[in-house]
Amino acid sequence: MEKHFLSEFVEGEERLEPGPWYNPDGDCIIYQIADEAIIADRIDNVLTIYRSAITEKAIGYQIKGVGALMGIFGLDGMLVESTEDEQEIKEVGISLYRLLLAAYEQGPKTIGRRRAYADAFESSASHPRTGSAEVRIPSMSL
Amino acid sequence: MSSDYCTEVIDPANPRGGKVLATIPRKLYIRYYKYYIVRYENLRAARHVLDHPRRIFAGVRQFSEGGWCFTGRPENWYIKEDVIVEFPGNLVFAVYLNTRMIVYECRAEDADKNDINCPANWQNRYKGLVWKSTS
Repeated sequence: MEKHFLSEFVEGEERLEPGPWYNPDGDCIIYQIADEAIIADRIDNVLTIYRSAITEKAIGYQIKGVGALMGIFGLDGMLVESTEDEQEIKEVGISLYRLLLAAYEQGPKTIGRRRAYADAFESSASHPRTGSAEVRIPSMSL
Repeated sequence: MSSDYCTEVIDPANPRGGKVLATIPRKLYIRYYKYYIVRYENLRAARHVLDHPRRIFAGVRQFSEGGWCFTGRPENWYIKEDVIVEFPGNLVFAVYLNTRMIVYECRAEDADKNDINCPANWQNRYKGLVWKSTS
């Protein structure tokens, strides 16, 4: 395989264990517990399940429209902790479980959705290090 | 030199006109490299799709206006670290960009049964198909 087009930009970077991540450019949370190719299975306007291209098992998920979900449900039900600086909130810690529950309540209660949301919960819970499933979001993104 | 990666792509707002720059931000590819090496390797597929899109869709989100999805078919992709295989015929590779043409997600999806260059159920997911390759 030819050299990666970004190889010179990643030189010296350390490889680490993954955890949930808020991407402000997409206003979405990405969570993937296995480093395998994924096939995205869009469940509804909020949740996309990542299925392994090798085993077809759920190995993570994407939650879209995080800012909008916060706007609808408020921070109260999802906040785990916040980081303040000179009385200004800089960063909030959000429970992925609570966010998923809020997203589930938004749509029709079908078996397909229930299964998919259960897959999301289970993939979070099965990760040994990030079983608490919390993600940190800069407050300016919300 | 900026460490974001930029490439010229078809302007989805004016597909018959000029080109615009699409950006793969450093924070995205570094995150992929550090935490998900397979996603990092599959940025090759994402670049291929940006350079050679088969379809471009507008309006990718319910909660926010705008955004684009470029789809295409790379020849191969990584399924595990150091394991590269032919890209499956029943999948399509999708690259999602926000309104500022910043890539925030790229991944394989099931292809539409009637058009393998489109993601399944595209008619209900996007605001519209704005461009299709004629080749």
